Amino acid sequence: MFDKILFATTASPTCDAAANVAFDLAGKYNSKFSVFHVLGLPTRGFGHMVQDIRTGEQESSYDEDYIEWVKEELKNTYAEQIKKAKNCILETVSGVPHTEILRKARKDDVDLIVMGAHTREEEIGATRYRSVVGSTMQKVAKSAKCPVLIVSRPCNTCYWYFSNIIFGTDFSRASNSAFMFAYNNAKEIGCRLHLFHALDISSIAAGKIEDQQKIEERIKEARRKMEEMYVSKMKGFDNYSIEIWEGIPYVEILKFAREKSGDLIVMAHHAREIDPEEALLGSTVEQVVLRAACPVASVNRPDKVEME
Amino acid sequence: MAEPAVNNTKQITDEGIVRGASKLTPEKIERVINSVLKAETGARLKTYVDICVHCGLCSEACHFYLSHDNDPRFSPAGKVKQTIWEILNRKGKVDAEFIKRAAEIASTECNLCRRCAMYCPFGIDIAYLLITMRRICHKLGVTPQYIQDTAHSHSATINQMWVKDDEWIDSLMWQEDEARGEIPNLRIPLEKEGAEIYYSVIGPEPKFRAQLIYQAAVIMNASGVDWTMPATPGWDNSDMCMFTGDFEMMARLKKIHFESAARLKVKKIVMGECGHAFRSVYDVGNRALGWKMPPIPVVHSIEFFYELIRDGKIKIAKKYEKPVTFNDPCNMVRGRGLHEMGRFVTNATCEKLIEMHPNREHNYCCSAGGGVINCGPPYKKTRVDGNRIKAEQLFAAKARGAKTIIAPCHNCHGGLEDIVHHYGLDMDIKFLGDIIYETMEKPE
Repeated sequence: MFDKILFATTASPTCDAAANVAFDLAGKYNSKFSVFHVLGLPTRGFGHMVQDIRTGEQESSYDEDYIEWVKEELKNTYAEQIKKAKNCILETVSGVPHTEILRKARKDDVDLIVMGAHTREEEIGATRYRSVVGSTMQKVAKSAKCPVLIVSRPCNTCYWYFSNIIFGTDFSRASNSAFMFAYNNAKEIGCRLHLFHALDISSIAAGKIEDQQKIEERIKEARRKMEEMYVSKMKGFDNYSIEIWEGIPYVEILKFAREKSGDLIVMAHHAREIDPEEALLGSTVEQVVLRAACPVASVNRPDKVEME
Repeated sequence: MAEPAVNNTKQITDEGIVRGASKLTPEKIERVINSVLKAETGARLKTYVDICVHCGLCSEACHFYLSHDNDPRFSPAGKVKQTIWEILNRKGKVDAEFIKRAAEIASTECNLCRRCAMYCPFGIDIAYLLITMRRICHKLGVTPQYIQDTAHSHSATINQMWVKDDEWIDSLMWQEDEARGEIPNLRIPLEKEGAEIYYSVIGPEPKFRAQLIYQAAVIMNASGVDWTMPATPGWDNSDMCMFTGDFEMMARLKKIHFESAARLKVKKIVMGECGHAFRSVYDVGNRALGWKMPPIPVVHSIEFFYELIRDGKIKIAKKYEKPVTFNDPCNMVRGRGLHEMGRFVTNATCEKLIEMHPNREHNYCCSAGGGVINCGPPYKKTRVDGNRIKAEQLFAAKARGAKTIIAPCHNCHGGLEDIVHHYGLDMDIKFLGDIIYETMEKPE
């Protein structure tokens, strides 16, 4: 399912949950597997000094020895997992983390990026490079061509034993790719696929009251779209359900995932929100990632999720 | 018993300077100095040195002088006195120790920002005197190690960051790919002959700051201009050789830059938000090649953005909300007078501009320019301590509400970041391109 997996890590405990999932997946699917660590931000003179991502200290001796030393640390951090892994390559570079992760993903043409969510470490980057808005995860999820699996909490079930995949949609173009990913995974694993949409009625908070009839009409419309856009694409797969709730999208998705004991949430993180009406999920993904108990896959592009 | 006063300043050891100086002999020093003075300086140097009346008016123009409690050793005239004057007086008969100290002064305690030239009643270009000192040091092989390494990259690869030819093309294709996620029909046209605009950047952009190329592509695309980027060396407009005194290499770099633009038959070169590169392309490098003005018109991003917004090619959807202050970079403001255009763009894209004082052509230097930040870690303290006045200037703007500093220059960014961090100012720093990208209307 995943021939090449890139695990982007800060090598700090915040990435441990992601590490377990990544190593597991690579082992199970016999994938080519890279553990990738961006070890520092180069100084503005772009000389040979970096700010260590983990400690925030200035390292004036950025050279081969330092890289080797960081690699050794990386090896120790994941010693147990590496023992079992077959095709595992460790790599460290200096640079702005999200840029380097995307560069690497593109170079190796990977099928999946696995990473943790927010960490303190990344914030040092954001502070130093002020033009980098938000976190590494956000930037990678936005621009990556392949699915990005974000694991922020320990995941107790093995990926291939998942029993409920939740696909949250806003009916955008990017959501089509997210759907394909969710569908392919559900089919491969043989688990239930929940197609979910949340009507955004947060405008109520601004004093705009929508009547019940109108809301119900919109729910009906959403259900029709589900049938048309997604159900029609599922050939011979009937282990699915459709659910439309109303509320604030990220809250509803989280509630829904909890109710269904979701093992994986799949959503699109839009490269750009063209019309807020159409593309509600951009910021929603971030909210969901921070709060979800299960891993979240963000899929934006069709490149790596075409039907086999 | 009173303790004697102890000078606790830590001596900086720079391998480039120490090792270079260890190979010098008095004969070589004298020979090199006199060859430079004789063959390269001429009337300009002689006039400058002869007409200085030691009035000291340049002193208060210098951020190093002001930041060191008016220590005369850091005044522009003081720095000349410790370098070029002494050499002239002694007719080149100086020792290796002298050269070591002179290299340090010329390369790391002066940003060549030319603020002092404005306060000199005779308009003496003191930066010229100090860059002549760097030239002598270069010919003696005594240059700070880090900047020399960058200069080596220039001579080996024609770019600053050892970027390989295919790596450059691939970075552009990668950014095009990414930007197409946002704007599906966006292009970064490579090698388009006859394009209106040739866009050039500095080496660190493909290497570390690919996002800047992305943003530029979005801006170019949204404004519908006819542009291109070269797929050959020459794409990097930066020039550290200008600052090490390696003028032969500087000229070679500019020649390749202009030739790549000429080969594509473009109407003009638009360059990214870099200050020293502008100085090199618009002022120093072209003249080293014998062009009084660049052979192909050169437009800095500040001016380019100004034109785009003035002509309505870029529309602003929602202005940047946080109050901003504008840091005038030496090379585009004292060097080209783009300060009002910078303000036009800022006002068009931001809700509120709070001026720092002094401003425009009187702005203090960031203390990173002139290759000083490129001299690397050993001199970070020299640079940051030497610009306390900048911190005070920024703090005053912050006290009046400014939260974000706009600095349309790479070196200013680096220098201000260190100052903001060291003095705990807690302000954001942005390029004009960042702000435009954030606030503009983007095409469907």
